Amino acid sequence: MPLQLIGYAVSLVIGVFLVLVVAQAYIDLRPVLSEQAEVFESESAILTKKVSVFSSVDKGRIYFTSDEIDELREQPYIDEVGAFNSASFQIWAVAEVGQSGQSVRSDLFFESVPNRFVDVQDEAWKWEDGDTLIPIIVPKDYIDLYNFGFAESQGLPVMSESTVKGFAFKIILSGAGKSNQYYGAVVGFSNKLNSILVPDEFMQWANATYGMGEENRSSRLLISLDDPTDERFLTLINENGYVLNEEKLEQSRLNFLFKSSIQFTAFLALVIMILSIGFLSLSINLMMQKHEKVIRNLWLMGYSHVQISRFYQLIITGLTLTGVTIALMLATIFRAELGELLSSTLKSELQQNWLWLYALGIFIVLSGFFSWRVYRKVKS
Amino acid sequence: MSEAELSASDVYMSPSVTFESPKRYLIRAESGHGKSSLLNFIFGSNPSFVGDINPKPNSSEEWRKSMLSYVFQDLKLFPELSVWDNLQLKNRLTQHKTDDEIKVYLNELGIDSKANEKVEKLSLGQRQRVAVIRALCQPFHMLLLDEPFSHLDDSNRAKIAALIERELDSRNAGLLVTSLGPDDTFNYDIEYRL
Repeated sequence: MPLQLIGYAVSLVIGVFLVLVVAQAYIDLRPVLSEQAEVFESESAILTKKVSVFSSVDKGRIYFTSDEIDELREQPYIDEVGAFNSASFQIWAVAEVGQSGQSVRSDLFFESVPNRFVDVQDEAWKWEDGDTLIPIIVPKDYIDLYNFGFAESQGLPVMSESTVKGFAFKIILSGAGKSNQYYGAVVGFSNKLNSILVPDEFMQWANATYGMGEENRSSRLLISLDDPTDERFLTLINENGYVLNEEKLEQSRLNFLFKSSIQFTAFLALVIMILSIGFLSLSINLMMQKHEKVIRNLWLMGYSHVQISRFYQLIITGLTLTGVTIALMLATIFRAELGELLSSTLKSELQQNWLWLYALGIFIVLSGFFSWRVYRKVKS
Repeated sequence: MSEAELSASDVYMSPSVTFESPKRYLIRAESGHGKSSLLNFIFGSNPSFVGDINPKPNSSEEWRKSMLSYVFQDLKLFPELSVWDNLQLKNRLTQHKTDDEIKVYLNELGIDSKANEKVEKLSLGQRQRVAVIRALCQPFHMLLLDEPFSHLDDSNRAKIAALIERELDSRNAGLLVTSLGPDDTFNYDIEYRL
């Protein structure tokens, strides 16, 4: 077998292996990332103004003006700017304590953000006029505070995220001379945002129904970024004296880094694959040139171009099949290793295995392409 | 063919020439006068000519698989294959002869002992005989022989002639032979000078 063909097979194995691993890793690791990014879109951050001595006196200083919001919107590296809506009415949460039927009342506050910033399954995060159940997102810290602080000291049972999610409590809204009872249900948790969120539709309706008619001002802005590491963004923040929940941005940065490295590897894999394809194309040309006389003689003897091509196509298809199969085997082994790592470190499991399907696709495309090339060459 | 090469020619200069089976034609000319070119034009392996050939030399393999059979001047055997494999390469395609029939041919031309030898080990005369047998391993209406007997002695030439004559008769096929000089191997019906 000519050296070029072996070169093709080796580079094909490497290229296909990388493509398979990257494509499958992207699927396998996605839950890990979205889990950590919680309910918010991964590349979003919260912007506030500095609270200073002066703002304690003049509260207006902590709100963003519409000019400032527009300025942010105009920045090329900022995708979207969303304002927080806060409730302009009174909210109480009512919880039954123990078996005696005693109830405890607590003041509560609600805020909402535009839905596009919230990354919760649609069904749960929906409120329509007339619904008495209000979906709520609470900061993850609240559970920790309860479990490790409150429950510990009071001898109450600890709660997991899923228990809290199954749990509905009474909510009383009052304002504008009305007062009504609703139910709240926790549908998600947020690492990023220290606020209690309800759907935007509900907030608009509730403000219109129970609100005091105050103008809605934003002290906090949600922004989504194309690239959270963009330096211009950090400059803008410093110049205007804004505050970014930078700690929470770490996750976004990690996410971005992961995505970039996946993209880079994918790019590398494609380059290697393209090189191996170029390699074989060149080898085909060489082989055909070397066999020009044989091909000509066979044709003169009455063999058709299709029949002559078949011999070369068989060799190349066999070689491609071998290469792709080896790459598939390597990728499967690699994925098994990754699976063990995932379950032992991140407690996450592998997703559906698409490797063989990808491999099949690559094989069909490659062998089809080369068969066509061979036929073209034989015919000329 | 450039024009300068054309001399007084019975074929190239006349408005039309007809070759029909089962007649036998001899085409005579000196070297470089286009004998092989003429056969290649007819066979369809050289399209660079001016004029018409009817029926049109077909670019499909059927033309070369079942209409015409051609013993090339340079034989176009595969030197790295054995005699037997060379013949089978043709016969597997056409399924025209049985193994036994091919063995009879080899025997008749005295090269049966060479069946398993590589063609590159054979003498030119032996190769010519292989090429003739290969040409018979397919159906044809016209057999083209391009200076076929240049390296054969009289006795072998007679053997081949007898074999070809018999095949032509049984297939009711025609024959087109090129030669440098006069030739009396076959009973030609018509002789052309290029």
